[in-house]
Amino acid sequence: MPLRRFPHPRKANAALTLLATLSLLFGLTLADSAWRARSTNRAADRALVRELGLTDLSLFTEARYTRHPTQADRHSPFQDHPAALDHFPSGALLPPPPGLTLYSHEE
Amino acid sequence: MIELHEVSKVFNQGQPNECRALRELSLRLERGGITVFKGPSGSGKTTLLTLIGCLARPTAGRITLDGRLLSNLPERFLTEVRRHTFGFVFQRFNLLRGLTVLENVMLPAYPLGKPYRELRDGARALLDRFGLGAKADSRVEWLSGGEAQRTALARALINDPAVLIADEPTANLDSALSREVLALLGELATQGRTVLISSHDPLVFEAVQVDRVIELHDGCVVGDSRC
Amino acid sequence: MPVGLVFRDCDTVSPPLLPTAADFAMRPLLERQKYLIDYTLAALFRRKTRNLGLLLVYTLLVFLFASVLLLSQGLRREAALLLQDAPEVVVQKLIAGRHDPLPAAWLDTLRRIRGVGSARGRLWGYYYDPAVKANYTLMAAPERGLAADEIIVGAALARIRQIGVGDYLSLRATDGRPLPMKIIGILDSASELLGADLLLLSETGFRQLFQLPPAVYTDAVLTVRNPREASTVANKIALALPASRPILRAEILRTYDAVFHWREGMTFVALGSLLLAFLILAWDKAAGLSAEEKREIGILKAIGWETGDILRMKLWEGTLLSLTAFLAGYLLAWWQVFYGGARLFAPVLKGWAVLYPDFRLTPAVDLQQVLVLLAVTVLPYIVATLIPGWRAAISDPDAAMRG
Repeated sequence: MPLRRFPHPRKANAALTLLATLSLLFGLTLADSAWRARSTNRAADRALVRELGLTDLSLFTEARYTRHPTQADRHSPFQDHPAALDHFPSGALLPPPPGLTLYSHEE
Repeated sequence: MIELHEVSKVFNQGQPNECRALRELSLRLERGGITVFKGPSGSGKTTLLTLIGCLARPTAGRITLDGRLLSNLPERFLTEVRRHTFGFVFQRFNLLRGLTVLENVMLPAYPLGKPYRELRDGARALLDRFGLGAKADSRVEWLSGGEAQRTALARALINDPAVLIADEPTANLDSALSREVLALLGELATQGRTVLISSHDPLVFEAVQVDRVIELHDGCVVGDSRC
Repeated sequence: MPVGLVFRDCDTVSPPLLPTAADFAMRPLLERQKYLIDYTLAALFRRKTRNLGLLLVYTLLVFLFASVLLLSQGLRREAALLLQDAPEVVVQKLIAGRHDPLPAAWLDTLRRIRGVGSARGRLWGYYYDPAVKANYTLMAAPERGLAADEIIVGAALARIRQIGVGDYLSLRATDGRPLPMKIIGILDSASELLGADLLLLSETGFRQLFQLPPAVYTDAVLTVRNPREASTVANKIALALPASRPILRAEILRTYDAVFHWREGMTFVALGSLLLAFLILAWDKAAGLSAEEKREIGILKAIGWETGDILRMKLWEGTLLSLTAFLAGYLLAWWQVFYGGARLFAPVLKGWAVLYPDFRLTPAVDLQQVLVLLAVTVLPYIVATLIPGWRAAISDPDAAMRG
């Protein structure tokens, strides 16, 4: 048989290897999630919450009702109209305090 | 041995453009040798080959292969018979564009699931035999007519069929290449394969390799001569 | 040389024309599938630019959806875990619908309500720093033992003002006086999610800065003897102090449980239209079998492929493309949300804010939601490739002969 040039890797093997690698990584994300959920130490953060009586995440600092959505005035998110769209992009991610939308003892 | 008994094939049955391609045709084809079906276009040569090769079913009549009735087999079995028994060389080669010569030759064997190395080496051996070894990894679009024809021939032989069916194998070739192809087909016939050819090219049915010429006209056999 | 491919010699016995039982025996399953993958990849690579483009757009789409999904899951869980120690009840005083300082006398009233364990006043508020145009959250931290001119700041605040321990930060009091404050610490919080913009002062410092009379607090936090009676206690507070507004921990947690839930509709509507556009594109690409592809299916059938082989080949085509896109998009999203600090969403999360926490979310996965994402992104594409393939595959193979 004449000398052949080095054969290409077979397409199916390349594709299945790629899929297997991606699936393995996918599995690793699940393992990572399980492992880090257990290993993450939130003791210092929780102590801070207890000490200062924190009620909110400091995610959105642009306005009172986005910095402290749970503490905000009932009317501040709705300066114009209850159904009005927010000025702030974060308003698209964060709902109004539940007291405004759910039955609560305030009513 | 292939036997056809009063076989008819009607296209577009019951419609205004109804077309009777074969009319109650009966025929016995022995094993081995080259048989040529000649006749003008529209005489039913190609239709006859599709029926023999299990690509289509007859409208009426019976076809038997080694005494076994083919006409009533389910599709799956028919496919099994087709890939086991017949190799096809189509008029316009019907190679799949964008694939390499080697991939095209290996294609009919894909559903069989042979070990890859075995199949690839077998296909390369076939290509070497037809002088196409150097072209194995090039795409089929870049082949000349003669090379494409030999590739098609190699593809027809990859599953080692007992019967080779070639539809107008010289239609797209000049006479030198036509003779070359006929020589190859003759070689295959002497090795024990049955070769069935349709052609209206005198170069084919007057060739020395041909054992039998059957003439068709309007879907009926009008002549049968052995050389 | 393999047996099946040896050219027959004249003297060997011809094989039977009909297939034998052995030909129907189980063929090596994996090898067959690999051949089908070989073919479908070779076919896909013919339109390399188009199919790679499709893969790219597909991956990007999954990436965007998965990013929103993972970020909201991560934030929700982080909030739930961090805020489980939030005050059980916060009591505010409202005047004309607005939050107003709460008289210290209320604390005694609150302590006398049955079920209330303890009550203490909090002092907190906002401070706008014109130097960097940022809002800080100021809070009195009596337990830190700070002197009147000492403060502790959050990490994001220190970053934006480029200050550290030992530096002075000048705050402007309500009467216009500048108050130089010495930074004696920076909040060492593993995640900045809680205290990025915090500025902790002593109670004296806070009152000095805002000129607050000594007998008022911003609000009050209570502990409840029996946590299950928190809502009963809240009702009693509302009765005893009609101008008050009690806020329960359950409500706080519920607020964050709804992050991305309420108007996430907006995000998803935007993404949804993108999904729709992609589906049309994919359907057009996958469903519209060209005449050439139909001819090829005819040829494959003519040279011995079964209808089932063609369908399996098409199934592989859809699966390879969509599954690769899904996994790649999901993994990229994972990486950017949990290891890249969700930078892609920073513009949305930041919004108009100047201060932004630099946080690393702990990965949280809701497997069910991931499966839903898998189903809505992968299945439609597979169906879109399979159906036209099936329609072409059931045609008679003799078309190949006729060309």
